[in-house]
Amino acid sequence: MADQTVHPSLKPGTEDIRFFLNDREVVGKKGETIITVAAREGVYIPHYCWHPSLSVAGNCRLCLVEVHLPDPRNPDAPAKPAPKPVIGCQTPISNGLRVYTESKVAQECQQGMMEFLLVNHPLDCPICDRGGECQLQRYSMEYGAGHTRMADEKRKFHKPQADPLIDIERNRCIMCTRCVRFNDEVGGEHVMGVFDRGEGNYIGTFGQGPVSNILSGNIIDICPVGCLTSRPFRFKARVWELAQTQSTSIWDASGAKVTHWTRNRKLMRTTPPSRKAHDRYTVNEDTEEFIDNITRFGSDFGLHADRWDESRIRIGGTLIPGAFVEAVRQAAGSLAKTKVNHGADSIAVLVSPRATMEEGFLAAKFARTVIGNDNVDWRMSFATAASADAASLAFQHADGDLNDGFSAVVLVNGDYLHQVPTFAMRVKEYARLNNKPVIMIGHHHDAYFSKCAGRRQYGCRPAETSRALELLSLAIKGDAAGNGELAKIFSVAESEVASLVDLLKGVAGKALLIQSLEDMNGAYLPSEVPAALTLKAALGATWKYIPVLRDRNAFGLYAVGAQPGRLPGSEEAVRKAWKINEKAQIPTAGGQHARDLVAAIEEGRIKGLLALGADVLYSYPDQDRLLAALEKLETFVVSDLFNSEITRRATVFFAAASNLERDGVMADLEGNLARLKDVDGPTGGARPDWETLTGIATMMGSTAFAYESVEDVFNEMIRLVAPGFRGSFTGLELAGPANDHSVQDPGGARRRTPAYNPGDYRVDGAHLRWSSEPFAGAIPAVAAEAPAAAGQFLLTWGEHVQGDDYHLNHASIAHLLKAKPYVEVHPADAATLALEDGKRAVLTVGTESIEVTARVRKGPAQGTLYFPAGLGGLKLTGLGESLTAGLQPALETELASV
Amino acid sequence: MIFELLKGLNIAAHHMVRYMAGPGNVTVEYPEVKREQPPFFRGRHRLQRYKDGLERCVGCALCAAVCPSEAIYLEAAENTPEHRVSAGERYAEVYQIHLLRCIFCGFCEEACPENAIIMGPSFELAMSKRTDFIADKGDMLDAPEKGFGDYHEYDPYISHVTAESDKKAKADPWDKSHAAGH
Amino acid sequence: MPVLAHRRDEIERLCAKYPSRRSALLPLLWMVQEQEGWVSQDSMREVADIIGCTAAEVYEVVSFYTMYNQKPTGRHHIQLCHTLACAICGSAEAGEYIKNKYGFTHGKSMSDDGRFSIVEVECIGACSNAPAMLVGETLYGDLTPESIDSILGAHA
Repeated sequence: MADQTVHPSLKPGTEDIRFFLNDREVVGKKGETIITVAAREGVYIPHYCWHPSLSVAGNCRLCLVEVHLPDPRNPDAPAKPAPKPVIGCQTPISNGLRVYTESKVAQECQQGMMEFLLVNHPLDCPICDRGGECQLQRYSMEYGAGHTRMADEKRKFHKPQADPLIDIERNRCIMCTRCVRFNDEVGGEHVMGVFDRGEGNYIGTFGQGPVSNILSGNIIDICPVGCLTSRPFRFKARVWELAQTQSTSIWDASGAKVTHWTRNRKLMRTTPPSRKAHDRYTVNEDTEEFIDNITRFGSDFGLHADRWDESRIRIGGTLIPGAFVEAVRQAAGSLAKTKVNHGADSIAVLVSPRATMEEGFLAAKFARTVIGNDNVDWRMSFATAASADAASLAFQHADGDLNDGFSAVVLVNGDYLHQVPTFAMRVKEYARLNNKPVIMIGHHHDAYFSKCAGRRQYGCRPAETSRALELLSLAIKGDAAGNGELAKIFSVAESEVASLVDLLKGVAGKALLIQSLEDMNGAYLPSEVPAALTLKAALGATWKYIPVLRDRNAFGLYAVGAQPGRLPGSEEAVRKAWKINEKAQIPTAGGQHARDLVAAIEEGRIKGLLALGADVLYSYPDQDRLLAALEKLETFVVSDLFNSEITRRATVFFAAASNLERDGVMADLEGNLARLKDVDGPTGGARPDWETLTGIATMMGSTAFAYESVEDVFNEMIRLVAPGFRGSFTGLELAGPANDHSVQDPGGARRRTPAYNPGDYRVDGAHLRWSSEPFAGAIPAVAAEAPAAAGQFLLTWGEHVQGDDYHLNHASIAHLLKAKPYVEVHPADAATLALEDGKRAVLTVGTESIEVTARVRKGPAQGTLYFPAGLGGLKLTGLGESLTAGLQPALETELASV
Repeated sequence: MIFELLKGLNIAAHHMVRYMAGPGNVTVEYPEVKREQPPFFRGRHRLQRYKDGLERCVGCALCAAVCPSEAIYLEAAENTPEHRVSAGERYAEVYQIHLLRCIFCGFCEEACPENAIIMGPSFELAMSKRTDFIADKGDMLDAPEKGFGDYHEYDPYISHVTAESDKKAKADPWDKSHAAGH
Repeated sequence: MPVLAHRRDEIERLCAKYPSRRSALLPLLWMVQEQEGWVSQDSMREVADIIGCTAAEVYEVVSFYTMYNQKPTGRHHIQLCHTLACAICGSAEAGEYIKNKYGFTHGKSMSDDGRFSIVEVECIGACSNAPAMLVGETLYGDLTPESIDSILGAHA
């Protein structure tokens, strides 16, 4: 099956092959196919089923080309025409081959194939949403005969309503099976199939179910015809009416690049970056830049009915709409008053993890210079202050990226597909296609990687993960004394441990150590991060480290110093840039940790709060406690989009600009910068946060906030954060309709190896990097886990991009995007519970219980359960300690009520 | 100079005599009498229906795309079994033509794949308010009981221009015998 | 409702014959069909779990091969040949006769009492005795209304 078929072009040999393409001599590598070399040489061969990221199917036959073969016994004789044309997508190149892509034979083949494909294709282009960006339409114009000889009735299928996000219109299908292969190979599960036979062939899902994976929306883009179209975008607009803005996703730290398609400034759809194809910018049907469904369908939250697009000021208990300037005056006055009455340390600044680097930078500067304290932070969702600090340690040592691939990857814990979907996809696809070892260590393994042939899983109890990493690093250094203990932790034979050590030692070239920081109970992270860094130090300099946190701009906010104890650059540089005189102290110590902010408010230590984005407050697990604490504040200035429980408690509310209305730069987890681009400025009275902060700071008497545009902020920020940066603010913008300087025709030169290389976007020096010495710190001990009662499991959990999220809750189709609650169970535990995959069960944590779907897979370690936090509204508030949970199969009566 | 003057007077006199002796007055008593327009006259837009009352327009927006003065605005929506408006899956929920922008070029009716929009014979386009010039679906759609409009056979390419109608159109526009005998 | 749960040993022996478990798909589906008379969606899921693939992959195979019944069959499953030789010799009339006798219509291929179900199949290799049909696994040729009556009457 397809998982054994590696795309030939991805495994090219080193031997040069010289052949002739339309009578021009070209050079390719042994094992490459005609279509890939032709694409690289700028010769476009039409194709439907061939896709650069998918295996070769060879069933559309549109890439038929004429070939002439040399006589092997007499190389000097002219090449003889092959008896039949061959398909370009599957025919490997060979020495002396003569390929003709535009000869009469090739053209006749193309015309004939187009006629066959159109035999049953309905002529409903006026109704079809693909119209205008349809490969079939385009080829029909470019390669078709221009008329039909089909007089008979066309085949018709009934139309199932299988998926709430994807519309299937089988009559239009040309059986290229791109969607089937995408789900099988990239999506990770063979959920779609080609059913029936002969003329009755159709694509679909088993039992007409939905295509239930987080990457499924991409089959809309890669479908070359109108068979799979977007349901949320259905009939909303024609593609040629839409304006395009090249921007970036705000949802997770993979930092997917996107195009927002708008009409009259209203977001119609979001797709992977549109590329120039055939004189027009369109979604390239050969795109390899896949995005997840949340990015694709959830980015329209700025249009929600609860949006407040005017500043509001609390007067006599109610929030009255007011002018922006008035709100700035009011906010500055209240903050100044609180500062005078209760001291500088009584004010804290919170930044949303989805703020841009400029906003984070200004917040850091505001706290340090205007307020005069270190109370600025974004890390509210962490379980404990210690785990947040562990994450900062991880960021300090982050030096890895996926550019140029890797020769091996070690994954420590993590539900990567559901935390950073497109990053996980790129790692997995590179490992799968190039057959690289994937070593999974820890108490939770991502089942998404199960199709990688080089996969090895070493599961252990959560409390033992750091010990396992430590022992492994000792073994790599040559100390095999701990191998016995390690084998016991992993429940494998000692020889298996030895082979793992040999494998890791034998890795040549760049390799990656990826660690998930999404350990929501926070009990293990403080020791796991130093343990992973110790392992990295033991493995050597060729190993690079990527810490994975879902929060979109976590890395960028860390970089700009929007957290206690960290400045955006060296102290002298900051002093100079911020115009702080020699004598004054820059506060960098004693900052209020966001994690403990609620307690500090309750104790009366914090009296004033400035929050950029209410989502950072919403990420606090105990919302009731948080809301009660907010009532106690003297001054609560919040800049946000929506009328919500949190913003209703504000003393001054600023209408913030949404993801489509602000401009700035964000960093992804590899340290690449990407530009968040506004479509056309904010709506109504909304203002981007940099304006709000600049206004308040200036009103409070600061002269260091004289910015005229967000670019000014960027320039000041980037000089401190990345002195080596040689690009520019506008240079970070993605190439698109507005500024086309690097885009190439898909028929033009293409990068083939490795797949999913984000290097397209890399601007020299855009990486945020801190070259650091190998980690040599101590590994804190982990508290031994309390023995679980009979029938109880240790609970581990992490965030989920489809979970409870402040912004996602306001998306127009949030109810379709949010995942139903599920729990991952180890097969051995499932067997004792008599639970089957997909069956309902009841999860009980403390006094609360929730009905979940059981997913039986080797994700969590035996004896533990993995529950994605925020699904189904179960709030896990017991943080910083190990939690146990009970799991019972749901009774029949309960089943009936579902 | 005198010669030119006499030549001009001669033409005037020629016509005066001809029409006094001929069929009668050139002008009609508008608005009591309305002159019938040639069949391919491009007047005010109309949206057609099928005989069963369903709208022909499927909201494909090709008219809006082809419109050189960007006078057409259209928003489509999906038909449901309970609320079926057009014959296909798609229908135009909002269909507006800005008549002040429209240059009556007729590209919309040529682009229409469903023969849904036609330019009818109505040339009375004066309104008292500027907002009235934005014609929406209610202004343009034929009444349901009417089904096809007068031009139900209309096809911009084939059926309409016959040898007869072509001859009529090219004939002297002031010749009342053609206008009356339709 | 697992249908193969009691045949685990047999299944493991079968799977051991092939280099990969997926190769056992066709024989496993035959096991299901022999036992149940047809292949239900639940049993496709079960087979998928046994060989380690998804139900969609199993359904691709089931829907490709017409010999797997995707609808419940009666106690006696009639497979009536309608390929060339039988068609010339009157399989259409024979089929019409059976259909009228047991009330089969286009969407209804099983008799009300659950005794018979019918499907038209391609050549069953009995062209010399055309028109021919299979009832269960037994071949009957040279069908006439009388012989059909007596053949089907003998099947309770």
